[in-house]
Amino acid sequence: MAAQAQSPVSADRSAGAAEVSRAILIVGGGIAGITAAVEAAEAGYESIIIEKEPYLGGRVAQLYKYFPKLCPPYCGLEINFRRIKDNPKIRFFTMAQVETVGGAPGNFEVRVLIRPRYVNDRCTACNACVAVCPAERPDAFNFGLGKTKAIYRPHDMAFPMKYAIDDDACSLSECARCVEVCEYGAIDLKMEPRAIVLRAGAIIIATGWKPYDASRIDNLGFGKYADVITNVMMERMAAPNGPTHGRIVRPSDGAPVESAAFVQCAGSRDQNHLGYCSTICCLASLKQAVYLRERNPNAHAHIFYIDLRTPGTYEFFAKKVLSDPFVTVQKGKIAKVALDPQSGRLVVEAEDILSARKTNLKVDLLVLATGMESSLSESRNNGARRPGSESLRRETAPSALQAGPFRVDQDWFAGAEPQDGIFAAGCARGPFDVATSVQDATAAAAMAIEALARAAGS
Amino acid sequence: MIEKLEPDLDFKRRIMDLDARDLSFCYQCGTCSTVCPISTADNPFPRKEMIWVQWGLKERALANPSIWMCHQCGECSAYCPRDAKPASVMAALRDYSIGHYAAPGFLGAALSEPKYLPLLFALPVAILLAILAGLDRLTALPEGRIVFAKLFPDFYVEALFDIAVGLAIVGALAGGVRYWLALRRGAADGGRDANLGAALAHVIADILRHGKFKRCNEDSVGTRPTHQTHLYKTHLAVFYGFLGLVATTTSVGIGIHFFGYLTPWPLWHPVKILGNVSGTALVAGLAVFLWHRIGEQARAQKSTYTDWLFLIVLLLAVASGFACESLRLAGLAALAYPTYFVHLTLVFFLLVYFPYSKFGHVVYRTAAMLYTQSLLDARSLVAGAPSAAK
Repeated sequence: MAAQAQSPVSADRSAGAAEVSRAILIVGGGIAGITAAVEAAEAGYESIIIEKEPYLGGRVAQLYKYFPKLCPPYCGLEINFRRIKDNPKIRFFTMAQVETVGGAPGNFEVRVLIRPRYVNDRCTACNACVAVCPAERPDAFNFGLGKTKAIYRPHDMAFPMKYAIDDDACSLSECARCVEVCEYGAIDLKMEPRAIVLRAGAIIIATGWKPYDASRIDNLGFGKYADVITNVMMERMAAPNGPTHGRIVRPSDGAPVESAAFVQCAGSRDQNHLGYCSTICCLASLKQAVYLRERNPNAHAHIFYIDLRTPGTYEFFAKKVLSDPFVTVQKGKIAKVALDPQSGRLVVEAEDILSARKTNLKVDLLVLATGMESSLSESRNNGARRPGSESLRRETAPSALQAGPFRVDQDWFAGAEPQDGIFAAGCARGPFDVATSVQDATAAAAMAIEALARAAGS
Repeated sequence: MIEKLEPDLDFKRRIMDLDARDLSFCYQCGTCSTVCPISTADNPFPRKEMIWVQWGLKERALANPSIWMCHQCGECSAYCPRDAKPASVMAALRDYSIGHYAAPGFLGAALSEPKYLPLLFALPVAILLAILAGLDRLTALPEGRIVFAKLFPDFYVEALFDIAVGLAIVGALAGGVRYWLALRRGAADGGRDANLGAALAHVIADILRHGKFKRCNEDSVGTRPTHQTHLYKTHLAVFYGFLGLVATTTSVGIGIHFFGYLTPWPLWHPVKILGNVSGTALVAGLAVFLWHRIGEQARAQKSTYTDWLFLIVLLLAVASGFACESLRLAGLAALAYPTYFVHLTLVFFLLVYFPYSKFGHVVYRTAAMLYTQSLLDARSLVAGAPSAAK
């Protein structure tokens, strides 16, 4: 059974330094990283996943439903977690980040820093600690919608199912009430950060994406009006295990949402923000319109688009959603948001391009369909034109990548050759949907295996 | 309805050459129209202008009140996701349209190309030299206390400028009427039911208040800096400075003709004070404009030839006026009289060519505002509501 690896340098089983390692190190434990790890391991190679969050699953774990089938992502994740648990060739480290990469293809030496979780494998997720914990933290899993205690379960179906302590919020040994109530001795407030060195023959970068910071879009009211949220927040709100237990309500007062507007390309295809199309936001908004309609049969969803991009067979999904007369689309981007003081509703303004008139609409909720940014992108100043993306490689990537094989295109990793031994997969390479990420990760696993074979043969 | 479009690609190229090259990046999202503090629900701009120019639809783009309703706050360019600079496109359309509606047309072309500039200045210089030759004053400067009337007698100056202004007004009316008729042709309802007098009163009141500039300055959708936040105050200074100088000159003319009150008037005279204060306001405003234009060269928006020409000639005309006054008071005849000659040349240039230079915005913007207001009034008549003052 592949337990979470605990002992340092346990990967270093190879006899001599010159011998080619048959391990593939995967940076990032989201759907792409998990897929690559499982595929490589099931082909007979060792996989090691390095994940910075306390759980695997990444962004997919935060989604309520997938488009176009509207099925829950937990289903696929559980199958993958089962494959990880059953396969002794897969090991993973959570709360871990790559610090440096040394060596060469066939024999990389990767230094990894593991932050203290303060909770060990004895945790049974009984929740007794949470009941006594006096400190709170913003619920990062729910994008700040609500709070958790300083000791928390990452989310309902977290894998590994172990609690964690956020040491930014916790006073540790000064309080220690959780230690007193834990019957299993699972809490260790003296845990320290530790560094380990892992050896791998090839590396897959599957660092994924983060939602674009909507507060930088200064004319759309995010951060100014409570009822302006992002699409990822909408996923959490619609999810039964989310902050509102699946009720879609106005964050300002908890009132049900009768009417919601969606702003497409909020920060994407925009020279002031992300210059590219994030590819998934149109479908995400169509999907979220269905969430709203399911929750409240009287609610209206208004989608404001520039071009509705539903490529390939996704067109059928768009047609199906738009056959609902309560889901309307308007060509023209919302560029102005105000608050109607009487009703407390938001007033959004856009030009209706097809009739060449400006339209005002009062809505309860404004969902910004924010795009996908590389997890490794730097934060930027509000409104500043984006600087050259080479800076990503220079400043935020592990040292091997700084001199490494990657070209970086608009902050995404692009272009590596098989002999380089380092590959990117999934949303580290660009804004993809889940299906594409999974295909891409499978391809990356194949390339990594090829690289191991090359290194062994040379 | 199927409509056959006649694209004029030369028009598109010429607009792009007026520093609006990025217009082809526009993907028609309408952000510009929405962030614009001036554009109305019924008539949003500048999104439609962007596609009209992209498609080379010249008549639609020009016979269009929106290009003059725009007061160039720059909000659209600041928020444009494609960096297509709609504000520059609107400025280019205004620039082009002054030449397009100019009557006679060759003057419009002459004012928009640097190569004709010497010729344009040669005309007033030749006229002024001819006057001096006729009065036999070409060879020697007048003796004694400096009185500019000794060089150019008041009668000649008045007559010359009355003719110049008269011609300019005829040209301005011709251009304005051509534009007005083009607007009417392009409109479905044409606002024919409106009371033009009432609409004009409303427009003039708005111009005097600088209501649109004020709105441009205040109604921002976000926190992003636009490059034109100085416009309201600066244009106000230039506008009232210029009006003050017009009032001064008119008063002086009346004083001379009807009361025999000969120049120079003393500095404490109210009209003289008005002139000096107005001139100072004008110079200060123009200096701010100049400073911003130089700064903007490196930033979002570049200035075209016509921008520079109008600004610099106006600034030099006022500055040379102050120079005349100072040199006269200093008693430097050898400098004062030639400077006066230069001043008259510049003022002549400014006035006689005004409908064909950027100064022509006085005519076209007023016409566009009047047209827009008359449409609003006509609609509210139909709706049975009183004229909505905005």
